[in-house]
Amino acid sequence: MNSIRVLYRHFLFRIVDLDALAPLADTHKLLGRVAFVLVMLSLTFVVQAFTLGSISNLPAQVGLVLAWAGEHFLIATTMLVTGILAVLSWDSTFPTKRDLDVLGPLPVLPSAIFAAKAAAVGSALGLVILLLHAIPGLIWPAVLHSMSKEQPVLALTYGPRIPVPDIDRLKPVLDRSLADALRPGGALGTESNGGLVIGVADRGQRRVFAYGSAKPETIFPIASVSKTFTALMLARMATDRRTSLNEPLRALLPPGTVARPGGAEITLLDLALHRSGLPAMPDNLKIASRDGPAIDYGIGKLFSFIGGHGVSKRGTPAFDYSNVGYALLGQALAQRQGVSYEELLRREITDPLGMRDTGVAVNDSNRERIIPGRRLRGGTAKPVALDSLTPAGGILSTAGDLLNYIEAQLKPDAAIALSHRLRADMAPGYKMGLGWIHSSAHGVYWHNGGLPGYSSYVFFHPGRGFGGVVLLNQGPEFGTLGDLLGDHLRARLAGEPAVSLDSVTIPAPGGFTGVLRYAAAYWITMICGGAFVFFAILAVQGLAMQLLPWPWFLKASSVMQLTILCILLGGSLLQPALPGPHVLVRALNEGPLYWSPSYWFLGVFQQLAGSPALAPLAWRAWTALAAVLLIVAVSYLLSYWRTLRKMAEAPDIVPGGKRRHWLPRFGSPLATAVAQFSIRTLMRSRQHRLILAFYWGIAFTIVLLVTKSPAIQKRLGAGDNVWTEPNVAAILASVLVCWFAVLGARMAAVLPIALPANWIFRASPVPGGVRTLAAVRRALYAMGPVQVWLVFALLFLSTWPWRAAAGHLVLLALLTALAAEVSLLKFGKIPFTCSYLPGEGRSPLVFFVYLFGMLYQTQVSALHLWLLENPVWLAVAAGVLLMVIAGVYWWNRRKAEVNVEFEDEPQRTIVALDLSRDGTPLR
Amino acid sequence: MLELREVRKHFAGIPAVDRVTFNVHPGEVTGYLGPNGSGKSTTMKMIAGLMEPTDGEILYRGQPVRSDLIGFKRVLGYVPEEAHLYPHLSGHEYLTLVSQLREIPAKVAGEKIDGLLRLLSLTGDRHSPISNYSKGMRQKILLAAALMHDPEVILLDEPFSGLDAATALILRSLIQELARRGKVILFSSHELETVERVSTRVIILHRGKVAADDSIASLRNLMALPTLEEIFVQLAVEEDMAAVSRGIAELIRRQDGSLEQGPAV
Repeated sequence: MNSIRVLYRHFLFRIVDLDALAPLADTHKLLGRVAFVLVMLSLTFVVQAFTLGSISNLPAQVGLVLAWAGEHFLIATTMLVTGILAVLSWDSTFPTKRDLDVLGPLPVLPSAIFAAKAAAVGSALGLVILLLHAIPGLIWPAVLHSMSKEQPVLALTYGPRIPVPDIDRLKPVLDRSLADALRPGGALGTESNGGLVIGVADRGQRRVFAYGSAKPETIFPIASVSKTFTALMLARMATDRRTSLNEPLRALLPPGTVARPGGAEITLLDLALHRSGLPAMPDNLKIASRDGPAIDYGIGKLFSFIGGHGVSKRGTPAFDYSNVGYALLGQALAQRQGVSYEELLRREITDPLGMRDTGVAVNDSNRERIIPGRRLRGGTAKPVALDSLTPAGGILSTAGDLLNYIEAQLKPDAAIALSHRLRADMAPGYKMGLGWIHSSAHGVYWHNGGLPGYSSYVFFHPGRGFGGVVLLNQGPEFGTLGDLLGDHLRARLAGEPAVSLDSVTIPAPGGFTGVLRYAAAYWITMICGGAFVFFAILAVQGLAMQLLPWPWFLKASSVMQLTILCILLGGSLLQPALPGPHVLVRALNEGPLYWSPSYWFLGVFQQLAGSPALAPLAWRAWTALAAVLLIVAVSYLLSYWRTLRKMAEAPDIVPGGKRRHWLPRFGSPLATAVAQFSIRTLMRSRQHRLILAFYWGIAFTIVLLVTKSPAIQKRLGAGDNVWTEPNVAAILASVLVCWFAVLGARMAAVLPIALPANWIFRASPVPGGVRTLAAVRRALYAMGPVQVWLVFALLFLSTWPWRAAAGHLVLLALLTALAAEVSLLKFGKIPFTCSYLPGEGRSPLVFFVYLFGMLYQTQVSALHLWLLENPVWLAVAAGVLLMVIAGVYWWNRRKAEVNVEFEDEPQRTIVALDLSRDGTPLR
Repeated sequence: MLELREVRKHFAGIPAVDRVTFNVHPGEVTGYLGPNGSGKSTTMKMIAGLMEPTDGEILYRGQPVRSDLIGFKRVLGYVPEEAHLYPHLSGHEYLTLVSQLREIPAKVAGEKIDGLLRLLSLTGDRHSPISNYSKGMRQKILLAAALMHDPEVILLDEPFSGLDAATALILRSLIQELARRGKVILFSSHELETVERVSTRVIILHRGKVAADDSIASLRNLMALPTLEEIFVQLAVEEDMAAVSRGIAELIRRQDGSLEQGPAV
C-alpha cells in the first residue's frame, strides 16, 4: 500500500510531461500557472451564466434552446480541455520504458504500478474538471434551474418505417402521427385555436385534411413559399422571351433608378438563386411592430434602396438568402410588363392554374376565411401586408390552391421545367432551381415559409409523382414545426422513417430540490463528458498499442496524437453551437452530428435533470462511456503483461535508417547548423511537434471554416469559389495560416530539447550578434512558413489569374516576413536551447498580438483584395510593407546581443544560510 | 601556454575554486586531480568559457581568453565531465552539427567524421539516435567532437568515463601522441594509475585550492611516496578510508534502525 501511495504521488506529477513544458522549472509554480489558466477559463463560464441569467421574459421555447446552448458549450469546452490533457499525457498513462528502467529493479509489484497509475490518471482528470467548474458549478445550475419551465418539446427522433399508405388510408396514419401534437397542451396548441391544414397530391389524386381550428378551405399566408411564384413568373417570361435569365436587373427597373456599374452586374438569375450579394432585408426598412397588419415600404423605397446599394456584382457571390432580392425580382418583372405584381401573379400563375383563393390582398371576400395567426409569446397575429416586399413572402393561399400549384409542378410545362433545372449549390446536399430548393438525399423540391404567427411548407417529388403542403397558424419561432410536419409528410409518402411528431413534457423544475438536482446533473455530466473524451483517447492509444507491432506503434503514436489534436480543435470549432430543432434532428438521427459526443452528453444532462428530452442521446453517451472504459481497462491490463515484456525485449539500440537524413544547406555553416538542428528537433521531438500541431490545428480549422462554413463566407462576403478566384476568404485564410506557421515555429522554438546538452553551442565559437540572428531567422523560416507559402504559391498560381496570384503571393511573403521579424524581437537565442516556463517571457503577448492581427485582418483583407486589382497601389503597399519590415529588421540587428542567450540549467549553487546567533555570525 | 592566475569562483559567497594559479605548457600532459567537489570541473568550465571566473585571469599565449573568447574557442577542444548530448540526433548528425558550428568546410568535415566514427568503431551505429547509445559510445562521440578541428588546447574532464578497455588504451596513447605534437592538454581523471602513466605533470586540487603542482617524479621525491595514489591520499583525502569502509558495511547490516553511534562518514 505504501508503494502505491509513493508511486501515486510520483505519477500524478508526471501525468503531463512537465519536463517537456518547463525543464527544471519549479513544478509547483508551473502547476499553479496551469491552474490559473483553468480558473480564468472558468470565469468566462461564470460571465456567460450571468449574461444568460439576466435575460428575462423569454418565451419558454427560446429559453430552452438558449439553456441547451449554454449546457452544450460547457460540455464541449470541458471535453476539449480534458481531450488536450489526454493528448499531453499520451505517454504517461500507460507503462513506459522509463517505468520499466526505474521500477524494474525495485521490489514493486506490477499491480501496484497499475493501481498507482490508474489513481493518478483519475486524480488528474478530476482536478482539471474541478478547477474548470469550481465556480461555474455553483452558479450555472441555479441559472439553468431558473430558466427551466414545464413545457412540451418534440421528441425529434425517427419513428419506424411503415409501408407507403394509399392516399385514402393516409388520414388515419396522419391522425396517429399527430395525436400527441393535437392533444390539449400538445405542440399544435389546439386548445388555443391552433389550426393545421395538410394537402396531399399523389399520382393524380388529392386530399386535404384539416385539424384544430382550421378548415380545408382556410386561407393562410404562405410567406416565403411566395418566392417560388415569383421565380415561376421569371421562368414564364424567360420562356417566351419577355426577358432572359441573364438580363441585368437594372434593365427592368425604371430609367435612372440605379447607375450602371463598371464591371459585372446583378442579373435576374442571380436574384432567383440568392446569389446577388444583396442583404436579407433592405437597410431602409423600419418595422415599428412585427404584429402590425402592414408595413410602410412602398416601391419607391425599394427602388431607393437598390439605387443606393447599386447593382455591381463582385466575383461569384455565395448563396445568401435575400428577401429584398426576391422583392426586386418580382417588382422588376412587373415593371417590365407594366402591371402590378398582383396583376402579374394573376396573369401568369393563379388564373392559368385555377387558383381562385390565391392572391396578395386581404379583402372583404377572403377576410373571414383567413385564420388568425398564433404568436409564440401568446396572442394572435394578422397576416402582414408586405407592400413592395410581397414578391418575397406576401401571398395568401389555401391548401387546395397549392395542390393545383403542386400538380402543375408534377406535370411541368416548359416554364415550370425551366424553374426545376438545378443551377447552383445552396448548402451541402441542397441545390437551387428557380425559387425551389432541391434535396439530393430525398429527391424533392421544397420551400418553406414563416411570418409572425404562421408557417408553411410545400414540396413535390417529380420522379415519384407526389407532393404536399402544410399550412399552420403557428411560428415561425415555434421550433420549425412547419418544416418538421412537411418533412414528416414527405417521409410518409416516400415510405421512409419519419421524424416523430410526438412530444415529451419537460416537468417543472421544482424548488430547492430542483436546484440540487440541476447541480448534480451539472457535475455528473461534466465529469462523465470529460472522462469520456479522456478515456476515448486512451482507448485509441491502448488499442493501437495492442494491435500494432511495438516499433510501428511508436511511429504511429505521434501521428495519432496530432490527428486527435486536430479533430478535437476542428470538432469543437465546427459543430453548431445553438441546438435548435434542425440541429437536434441531425444529432438524434443522422449525419456527422450523430457522432458528436458533446451532443450525447447534452442528452445526459437532460436525463439527469429529470427531463425526458433527448433521451436517445443520453443512451448513446452511456453506451459509449461504458465501451471506452471497457476498452481502456482491457488494454491497460494487457499492457502490463504484454507491453512491458515487449519493451523489456526491445534491443537497446534501434538501428537507424540506412538512408542519410539529408537536409539542404542554409547558407553559412552557422546558419546551416542552426537550421538543420531546428528542423531535426521539430521532426523528432514529440513535444515540439505537439506544440506545432496545436497552432497548425488552429490554422487548419481556419481553412475549414473559410472553405466550408457558409456563415463565415457570408460574413466575409466571399463567393463559392474560395480557392479558384481572388476573394477575401482565401486571402484571409492564407495570411492567417502563414502567420500561424510563424507563430507555431516561434512557440515551439522556445521549448528546449535537452538543456544540459547546450554546452556544445557555448563551447563552440558561435559568434552571436547579427550572424547568429541571421542563422536563427533562416531556421525560423525553415520550420514551416516557407513550406506553407510554397503550398499557397502552387495553389494560387494554378487556380487564380496569374497577375492576382503573383500580387497576392508577394504580399503574402511580405506579411509572413513581417510576422517572422516581429517574432524575432528580443529573441537572442538559438531555437530549442532555452528553458521556458509557461506564462513567462513574451509568448502570451505575442499570441495576443497575433489574435488582434487575426481580427484586424478581416477588414484589411478587403483592402488586400482591392490592391490585387490595382497594381500601382499594390506596389505602393508592398513598398510600405518592405519599409516596415526593414525597420523591424534594422531594430533586431541593432539589438542583437553579442553573446547568445542561454537560459541554461541553473548552476548547482551552494546557498549560504547566513546563520547567526545574537547577531554574531557563526563561524 | 595556458595560464591561470589567481582564478577564483564563488557560488553565493562560498569559494568553489580559490586563487588557483598554474600554467599548462604545449607538449605536456597536465593531470588535474582532486576529490569530488574540489573544483576541477569548475576550473575546466571556466577555461572553456562556459563559466565566468569571479576573479583572476585565464590567459592563452599571454592574452586573456575573455578578450577574444570566440577566437579561443576556435582552438579549444573540450570533453565535459558528463556526456550530455542531444539525444534526438544521430552520432553522425551531432558531429556534423559541431563541424558546422566550428565552420569546418563540409567536405573536410565529412571525411573527418567518417574517419573518426570508423576508428572509434561507431560506423554501424552512426545513424542511430544518441538516445540509444551506451555511456561509452556517447563518450566516444564527445571525444570525436572535441578533437575533430585539431585544437591547440585540449581540456579532458574524465575522458575515460565509460570507455571499454581497448578504447581507453587507444585514448591513453592518443593523449600522449597529441602532446608530442605540441598540444596544450589539461586532463582530469579519477583513474590515478592512468594519470600517472599519461601525465608529465600533475596539479592536485583540494577544497578549491592547489595542494600540489609539480612533475610526478618531483612529487615522489619530495613526499617520499612511491605512487601517485599515495601522494593523492596524502594531499587530498581527509577521511580514514578503512574506517569509512567499516562504517558503511556496519550501516547496511543494521535491521532495527537503532544507531547508537553514527559511523564516521
